[in-house]
Amino acid sequence: MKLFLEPIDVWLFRDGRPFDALSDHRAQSLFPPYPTAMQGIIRSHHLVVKKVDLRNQEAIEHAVGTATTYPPGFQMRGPFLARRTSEGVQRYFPLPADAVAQGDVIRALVPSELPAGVWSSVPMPRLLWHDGEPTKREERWWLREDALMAYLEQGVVQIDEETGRESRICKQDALFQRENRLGIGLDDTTRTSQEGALYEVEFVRVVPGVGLEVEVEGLDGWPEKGILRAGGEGRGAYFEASDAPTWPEAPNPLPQRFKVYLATPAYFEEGWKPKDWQRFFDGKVELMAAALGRYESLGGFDLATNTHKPARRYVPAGSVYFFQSDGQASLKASLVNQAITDDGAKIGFGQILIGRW
Amino acid sequence: MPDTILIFSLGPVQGFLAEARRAQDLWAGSRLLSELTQAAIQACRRSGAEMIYPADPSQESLPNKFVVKLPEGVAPEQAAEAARQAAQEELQQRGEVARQFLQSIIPSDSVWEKIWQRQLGNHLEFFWAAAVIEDDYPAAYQKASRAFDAAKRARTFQQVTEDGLKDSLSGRRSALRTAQGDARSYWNRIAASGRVTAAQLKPEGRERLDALGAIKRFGFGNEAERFPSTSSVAAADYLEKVRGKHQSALVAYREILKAIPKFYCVRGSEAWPYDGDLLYLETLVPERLRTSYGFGDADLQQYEGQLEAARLALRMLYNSIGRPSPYYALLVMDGDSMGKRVASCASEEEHRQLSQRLVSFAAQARQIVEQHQGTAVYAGGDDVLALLPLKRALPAAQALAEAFAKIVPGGTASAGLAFAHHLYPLDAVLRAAREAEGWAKGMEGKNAICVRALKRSGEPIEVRSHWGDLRTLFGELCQWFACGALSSRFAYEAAANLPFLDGEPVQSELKRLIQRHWDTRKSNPPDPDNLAKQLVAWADSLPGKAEELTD
Repeated sequence: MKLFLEPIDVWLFRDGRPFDALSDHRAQSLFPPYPTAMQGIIRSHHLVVKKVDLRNQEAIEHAVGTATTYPPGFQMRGPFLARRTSEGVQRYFPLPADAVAQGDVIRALVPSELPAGVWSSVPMPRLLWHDGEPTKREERWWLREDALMAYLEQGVVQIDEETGRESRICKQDALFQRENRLGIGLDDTTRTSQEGALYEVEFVRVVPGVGLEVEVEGLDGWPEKGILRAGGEGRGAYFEASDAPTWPEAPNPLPQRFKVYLATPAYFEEGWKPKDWQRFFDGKVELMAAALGRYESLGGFDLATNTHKPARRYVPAGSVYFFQSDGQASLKASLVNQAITDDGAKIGFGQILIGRW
Repeated sequence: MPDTILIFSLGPVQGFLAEARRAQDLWAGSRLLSELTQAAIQACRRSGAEMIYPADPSQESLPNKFVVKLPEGVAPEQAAEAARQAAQEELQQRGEVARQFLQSIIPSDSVWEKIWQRQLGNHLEFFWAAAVIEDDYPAAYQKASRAFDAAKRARTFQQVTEDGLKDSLSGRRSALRTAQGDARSYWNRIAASGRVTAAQLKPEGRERLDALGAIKRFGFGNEAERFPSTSSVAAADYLEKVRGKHQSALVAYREILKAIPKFYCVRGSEAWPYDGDLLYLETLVPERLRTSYGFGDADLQQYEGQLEAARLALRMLYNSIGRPSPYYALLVMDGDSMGKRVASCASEEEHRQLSQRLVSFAAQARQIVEQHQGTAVYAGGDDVLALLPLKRALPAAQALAEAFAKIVPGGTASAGLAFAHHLYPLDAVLRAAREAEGWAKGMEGKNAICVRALKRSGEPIEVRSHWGDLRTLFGELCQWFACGALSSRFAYEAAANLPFLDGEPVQSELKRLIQRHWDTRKSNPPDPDNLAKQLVAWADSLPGKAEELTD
């Protein structure tokens, strides 16, 4: 089933940093949230759908498994930022890390060989050389799926004049805004404020019609629409069946020069890369270049054991890897969810879209 | 092989600066970054490199990116590798100071060592690029610069797993601990050792540090503690006023504080040796005394009488001169389009001259900030990061922008100012100031300032303007507000009512508000018709209207 979730009010998806009022801490929102947060939301609501007795640990595990072992057949893709349009729900993706804006187009940089007499710290055969004026990467743009696919296929996409709800390319604020709120800790016994317990929480307020799209398999019995709890402070969301386009499958075979765009974050054993790329491909592929966003540390708090979970580094969504193949290579058929990630493929990490260069 | 240009940078700047809860953390982070850069520069110079930017590597603040010319025969990879190693070693050395201190309280073990080495070994990131100078310096610089930009696009990193309780500055890395108990108990023991003040470390394990946080707090001896806190900066102009006219009330208060040994001195000044937060009545409540000064129940009981006397003395001071502003300003400023300016240098000599001018600017920037009772966290390259008392912030920012334009011919600078409560989380203030700077640079032609006010409730307010417009009408407005001729209600009511009006009614409403809120006892009123007209014209000329800002 595919779901489209819209917030009832604001949303709070904590970034996993520890947070308590007495440390005058600040809680930041990750948005869109990571698959780890989304799987929790979906599995929790499944207990409601199935009317599972929450005092019965065995029944819970039977219905939704645990945070690390899921019920058989359970699989998720996303969550993705999405917007309801006249043509149905449309997914939006962060601007690729290999993109530069030039006038009214967004252009993909092409890996090139180092010119003679030039050296750099890049540990790859090629680098993304930009001949124009130096530009700072505009990180707050989002591309609608069709615009992103055009970009990945042709290496360029027009920023059109069209504005408002239907824009194919828009700034972040046209989709959601961050909103800071100050709070002060309360003394539970007296219901009075605690001295010095100042904290700040960053909420996400989405523009009307914007929400999260997620594909879930292996959980049945859900109604066509309803309300569920989503994120921090038990904030709510309306959900309904999503009519977003089917997730684009990777071409087979892959183009000779193809690039992998990460649509959700990925975890790799060696940080920015896996031990061996061949683990994901049949046929020989070679990494030529990469455009990567700054890594994100993801940990979180484990309510069950009351401890901080281990924090690990993830390659952020929007990163792009450039490969060269013999034209016969393909994604391994055995990949869960067609995902490129060393962990979390089942719940939506490492979702990719393929382009060419 | 002919000479080559090497551009080298180290980071993450974010990690060194933004992971800060106190002004001292911000200072220590900035200082550490400068030290690492300096070590990297020295390594390059040992292999014969000549400085191009910054012109003077012995400055107090160094940018995290530098440019050198390598002589014939020196391979850029080797110079860059030497620079990388030197920065790593410098980090270890600065770390050694913190490590020795912590180990003198609680001996380390293999658990502690593992966390320490992992965090120091995996924190720094390096980007560099180089190009041969064939015959034309600008062409070679451009090549190196493009390769450098390309290098920054490939942000490779190692995988690291950080388990257990996280530190309180970054929230991302394991807090240091030994095999005996968790991080909370380790830091509780450090805080309770009697060797650290509550200003260095909150008691009861509420603050837990990782290796980098530990270096910020304990790697600089008491040098960091001498850097004024946000409370001291917020109260700086108040203190100056008190000293001029009401010294005796201050002395009376100070004498009472002296009798309570938990109040430690932070600087040599006899007139007021304490942190500025002791000028705020809210500091003298039990909870704050616990967290900021390490008072226990016994202390609170023992000093009950003295504390009451202190509160009374502080109220007396307030009665005679008023309260200090609880707000201060954080300023972020840098030159506009510096990349383009550097790229347009026609020769190596011109590039060096520009670097030299920036050294002069940095020196002058420190002076300007100090003249306005502020403190520079960083002044190097074309960047300034400073803390300023609220009332002095705008004049200081203007003076800095003017100095920049004077020293760098044809250059302009833009600034972001965040106004925040002295207890507001510092990392959020820094982020607000950075965002404000971004909005200032978003104005046509840059050369602008954006102020972001973080109130203690509700949404932040931001305003931006080109520098020129600040001097005229806006300056006058400020003076009228300051002397009380125009009530501040004018601004609130204008903000509340005007968005619903359009065209002529705006001017009429403004005129009404001016008449209503003008106090003729304080100053002669200007012609309200004329002033309303000027205000409308000014507002229309501002490129950033409210909706544009949130865009």
